[in-house]
Amino acid sequence: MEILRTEKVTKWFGGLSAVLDVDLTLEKHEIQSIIGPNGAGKSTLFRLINGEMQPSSGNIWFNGEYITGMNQASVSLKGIAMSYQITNIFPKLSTFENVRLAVQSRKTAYNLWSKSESDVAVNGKAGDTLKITGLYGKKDVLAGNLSYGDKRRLEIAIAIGSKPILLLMDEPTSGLSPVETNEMVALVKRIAKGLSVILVEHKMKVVMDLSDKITVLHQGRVIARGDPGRIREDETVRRVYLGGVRV
Amino acid sequence: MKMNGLNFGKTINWLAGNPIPLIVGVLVIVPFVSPYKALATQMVILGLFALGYNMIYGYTGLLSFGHAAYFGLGAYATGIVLIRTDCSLLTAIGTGVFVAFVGACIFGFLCLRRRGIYFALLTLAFAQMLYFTANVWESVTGGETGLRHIPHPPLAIPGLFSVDIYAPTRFYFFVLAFAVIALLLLKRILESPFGKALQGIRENEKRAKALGYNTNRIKWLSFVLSGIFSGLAGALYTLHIGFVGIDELYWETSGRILMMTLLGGAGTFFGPFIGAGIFVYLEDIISGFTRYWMIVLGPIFVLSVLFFPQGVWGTVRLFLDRFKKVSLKEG
Repeated sequence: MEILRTEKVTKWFGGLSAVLDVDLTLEKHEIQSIIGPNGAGKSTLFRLINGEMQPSSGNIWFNGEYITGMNQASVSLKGIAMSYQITNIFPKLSTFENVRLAVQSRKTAYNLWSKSESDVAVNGKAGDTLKITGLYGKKDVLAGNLSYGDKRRLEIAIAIGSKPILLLMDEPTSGLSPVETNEMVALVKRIAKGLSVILVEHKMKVVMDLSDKITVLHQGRVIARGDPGRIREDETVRRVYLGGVRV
Repeated sequence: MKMNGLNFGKTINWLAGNPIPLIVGVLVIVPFVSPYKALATQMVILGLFALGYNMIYGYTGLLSFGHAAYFGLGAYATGIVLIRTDCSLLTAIGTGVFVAFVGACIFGFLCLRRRGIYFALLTLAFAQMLYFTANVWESVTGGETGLRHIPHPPLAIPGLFSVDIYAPTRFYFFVLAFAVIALLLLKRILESPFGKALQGIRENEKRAKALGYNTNRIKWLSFVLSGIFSGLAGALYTLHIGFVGIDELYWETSGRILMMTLLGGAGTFFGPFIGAGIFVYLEDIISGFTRYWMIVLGPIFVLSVLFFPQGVWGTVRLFLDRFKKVSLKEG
């Protein structure tokens, strides 16, 4: 079943096209990677899908619904979450509160009366999310005081705390050491069960390891797509992106 | 000894989490130790104003430089109703709060179209607009001389009871009752999912939006609630001094409430109330010696912001947290 489809999605910045006529389909429970050199339009494409930016033209369907033109908050409530390349957390709130806010976001924000401390369902889910991401032991630490690696985990925890159907991950391993990168790959595999994921990533090993399907962007256009084996052998991809090196 | 230390630590922790009984206890004593009772009343009223202001500034992270508007709307509306109608006391206060609510709805909606410094300047501009309006609309507001001879109706519910509340001690407790209700309401609101969302917006609005929070509407609601509490403070202030001055709408009032909030600790629950108390008390003492009391209070403010950026209450809280950790280790 198709979970996401974009049709000729285009974004112009002045005379420059950041994303041009991109068609993309994502099956349910698939992990698809988008790769391409810096400036290929990967992050812009994410922002078009999650409603942070509106496309100049083109259409986007999610889970059978037409979501083009919806604002970011509404898209989020439909079930698309994003984890950011540059850590985007609530620094002066506890780690637990960071995730609790994400879980709570599925309920009305206009509840001025009940005590959030005693909402067992929300707090339980937040605790579970922290356990999955290995942060439960640090739940009372201020998020801003976490180590960089833990902040990256928290970034993911916030994204999955809102119980998305589709998770957009913008370079989850950005800035991580090789050991931490392996842990992150394991974490992504764990959380991806039951989710559909689009991954933007620069580390080829991570991409090849995780992806069911890969789409290659170059100067805003799709230049190739297919399973990891095919992309590895694709001449155009090797020339523009992999620099002729075999991976 | 260690057990005692732990119990003491626990008690302090509990009080840090549920400060209201302690606060109310202290506030019951304040009028009897304050130099004169009206000063204590002044502290509580401005404390209430600071609590309302803290909601938008301390908890939502929006620097409003125009809260004089809502304090002034509450004050003027209450005064005008008392002068021109035979309404009961509570109706007059209610009208003050309602007018502040309407003002905050409209101004808040418009100011929140912009962020950061532009937001601050818009709040200032709207408040100054009201100031100049009150200044020229003499037939209603009394212009530069303000509203004088405001009657003092008794606190009454027709057919049930009627009490004169204007003796200093009585009036203090009348005001305190409103302040306690406001404290309880605010605490409840700030601990609710809505209150948590406010703090999320303060910390990282973009992420809050990405999580599906309608941040514009939540900020608006916070602004309006803050305006309501400010309006209540203004209404009580009118009854307190029996007069409404044009200065209450002037930007200095907005600046002063910001200073009180910072002094006590923005974003801590009770800090702004303490900040207002300290500010009002110092202002009273120092102005007894010199007209230029700001020359003394200014440096105190600057030093406290430089060296205790968490404010008085925030610093006490930090100290208590450290104490908590030590006592837990000992235990």
